[in-house]
Order: sequence, then structure tokens, then C-alpha cells
Amino acid sequence: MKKEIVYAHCDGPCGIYDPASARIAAEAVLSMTKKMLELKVPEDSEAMAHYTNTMSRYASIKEEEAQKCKDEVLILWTDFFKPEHLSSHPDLHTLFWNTAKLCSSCKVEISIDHANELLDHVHKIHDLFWSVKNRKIDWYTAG
Amino acid sequence: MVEFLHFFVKGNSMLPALKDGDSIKMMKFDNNININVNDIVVFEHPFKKKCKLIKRIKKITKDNKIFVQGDNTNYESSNDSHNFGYIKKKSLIAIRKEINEITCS
Repeated sequence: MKKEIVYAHCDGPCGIYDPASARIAAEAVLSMTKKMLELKVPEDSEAMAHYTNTMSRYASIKEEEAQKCKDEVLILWTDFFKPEHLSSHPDLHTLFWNTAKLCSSCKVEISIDHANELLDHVHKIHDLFWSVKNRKIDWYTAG
Repeated sequence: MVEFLHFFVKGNSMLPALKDGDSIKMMKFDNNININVNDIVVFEHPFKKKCKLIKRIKKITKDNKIFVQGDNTNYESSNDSHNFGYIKKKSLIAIRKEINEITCS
């Protein structure tokens, strides 16, 4: 007898997830952190205005990208991952919680260590995400 | 004479009663069959074409509107009456009266 498909779960969202969005944002945070630390304070007052403008823009982009990274990570955590993934990956919540915390740190600080740590955590999320999907997707960075 | 329909379940929002990939035999619904809370039903999605859902009846109003819900309370985005509202009796396609009778393969 023919079996018809019935959906226990007829999904509303698009169902397209990829940690690449978080990776791009984390890379931008690292890049802006480096740029901020490399900027030299000028001696003359005219250059000071340009310096302040540049530094402000770097800070603004860093904060924006850190928030974007946090948003993308939280979407993966709360929408993509399901309770059944927790049994095979018991450290899942800790990984996401620490990553979200690092996003907050990078937003308010100028820390190369935390920015690198954030990218490392997003790398771990990348590995976890694609292992759950049973796909081999190599990690890469744009920068 | 009771007519039976066979279904193949996709998705896990009916866990633990039904899981993704289960097969289930259910009675074809007609208006002579009483519906009760806790019955499992297959019905047409209220506004998605060609989408048949399987859920459990949680509430029936006096005017015969039916509130359906997935069993898996941990399933964050279960699509049920919380999203699409009450369904109508005429949208029912099949029914299973007792959860203990379900045999999955």
C-alpha cells in the first residue's frame, strides 16, 4: 500500500544555516582590533581630527561586527541545534555560551587575544555544525 | 467498514510517540468517528498547499474547532495550533485513537 508523507514538523523558517556568516563577522572583529592597535596618535591637531575620525569608524565597525557575530551564533544555537544534538555533543551549550561571551568582550575591548579566541570558537562551531550535518566542509578564512 | 491509510512520518515534533521515519497506519476519517482529546490526527495544513501534518488533539471547542499540538515540548519550532490556530473538523484526513496501539516500523 502506498505510504503518504505526513509532516510532524512543517518548518516555517527558511532552513538555511551556515556558520560562515559568524566567521566573516569574527574575522572583521579581529581585523578592526588589529587596525585600532596599529593606529598611531598624531602630533599635530589637524591630523588629530582625521585620527579621531578613523579610530571612531574602526571602533564602530568592530562593535557592529561583534554584535553581528553574536546574532549569527545565537541563531545557530537556538534555531539550528536541537536537543538531540546535545547527547552526542555535551559541550554544545558551553561552546555557544563562551562564544557569545567573547563577542561581548570583543565589542567593548580592544583585545587581540579575545578576538583570536573568538575566531577559534567560531572555528569549533564550524566543525560542530558540519559534523552534525554529516558533511566535510574545510575551514577557511577570507583575511 | 473502516478504511485504513498508511503514512510515513517526517520530522520529530511528535517524539516520543512518533519519530522521523516511522510508518503509521491510521483510520481514514469520516464524520461518524468521534474525535477526542489525545487522538492523533492527520490533517491538511490550514494555509500551506500540499502539506499534511500529524499532531495530537489537545483541545476541542464547543463549535468543533480543534487545537492540535506536537508531543515534543522541547522542539522549539514545532508548527502547530500555536502558529496556525485552531483547525476545522473537515480538514481531518485520518485518526488514531489510542497511542498504545501504534506500531512503528
